[in-house]
Amino acid sequence: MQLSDDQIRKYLDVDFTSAAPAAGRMCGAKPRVEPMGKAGIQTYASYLRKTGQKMLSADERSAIIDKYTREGWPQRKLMTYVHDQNGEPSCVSNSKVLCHEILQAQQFGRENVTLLSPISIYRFVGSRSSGSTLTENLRRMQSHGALPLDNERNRKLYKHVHPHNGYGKEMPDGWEETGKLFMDCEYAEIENWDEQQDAVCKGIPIMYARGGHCITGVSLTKSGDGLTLDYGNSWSLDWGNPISEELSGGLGHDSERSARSSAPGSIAVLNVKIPFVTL
Amino acid sequence: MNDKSFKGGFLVLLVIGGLWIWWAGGITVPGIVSGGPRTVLIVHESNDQTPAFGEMVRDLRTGPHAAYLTSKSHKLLILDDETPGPDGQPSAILAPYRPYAVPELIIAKPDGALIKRQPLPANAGAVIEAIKAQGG
Repeated sequence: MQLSDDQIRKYLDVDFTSAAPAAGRMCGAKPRVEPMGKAGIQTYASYLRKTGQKMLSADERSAIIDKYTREGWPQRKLMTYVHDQNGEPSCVSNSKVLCHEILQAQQFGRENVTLLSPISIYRFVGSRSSGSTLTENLRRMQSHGALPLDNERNRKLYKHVHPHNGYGKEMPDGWEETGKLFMDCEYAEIENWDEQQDAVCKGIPIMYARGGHCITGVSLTKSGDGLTLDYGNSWSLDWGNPISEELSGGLGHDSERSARSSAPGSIAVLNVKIPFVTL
Repeated sequence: MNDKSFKGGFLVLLVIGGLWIWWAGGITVPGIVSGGPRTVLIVHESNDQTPAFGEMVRDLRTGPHAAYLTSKSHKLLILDDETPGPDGQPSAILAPYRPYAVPELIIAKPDGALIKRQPLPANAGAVIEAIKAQGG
């Protein structure tokens, strides 16, 4: 679905620091501590080399943007849920699980996505007020995974589930057994705006941070004000533009200027190996 | 030769011809695949994902071809060959089709009965054509 320029401007280059309290929400992305290339994550460039891929040219990217603007962006069409971190600084963990769910939908179809609990990650990488870094969340996911979100479907399919929020909520006994089903993930560290655009055009969801908040890059739009990187936020459906025909909110936009400055250190979530389950 | 003799001789030739065809192996009638919903498995090695494969997946999941699959009630699963089930063991849905020659396209009935398996075609359009050829 195409958004008007006015719709995009309303949520363009949002100042998260002031917008969060106004929305009754929080941010929660701490600055990374590792220098670029020192976080133990492959670079996006090395991932492309490993898989025999080339970076798309600017013309190729432009054609893809036009195509997906007509057909709908894959990442947005595959989203099944807009997360809501509510009053907790767990934005990075929310972005982490969203990327997982997009890649699940790619494999199994939207109807077979297992929604995940962000707080089942965040409670191990942050405090009630501290927030967390992108790399801490990646490492936690790879070491322990996450628990399925506590809903009717997941209670029937999995031994352990966990609520969406609630930092103080104890993890269920033996939860590690279920958590490890969601551990297997591959990431790449993005170094610049060209790589970030390349990944988005190839259908890859991106975790990135700006102004102390972490969001998920899911599409690119040519608006009247220039190219924007569109992101899925975790402030519920009541905030932002429609992500798709099914999701009536949750989408924000960063101008090229903003996106360019926040690209270094963003994370491409490349693939996840997760259980296939269905009712 | 009168008319009766001609007809009788023709009948004899017909019987002999039929017996010969039967002896030689019968007449093969092309298999008729009844139409209906399909379970379509694309089995691949996720570490070997190519740009073309990524484009195929996007086209099948969210592009114009996705609408066709939905309209026919086909179920599409794109699975790594080591996809686990909820118990952490190899997924039960893949078990009937082992071993694989990844990347592979497996077309089955909704109950899992195999209809056809073949090397994965090059693009989403060719995957759809392969499904249509098997009554989907």
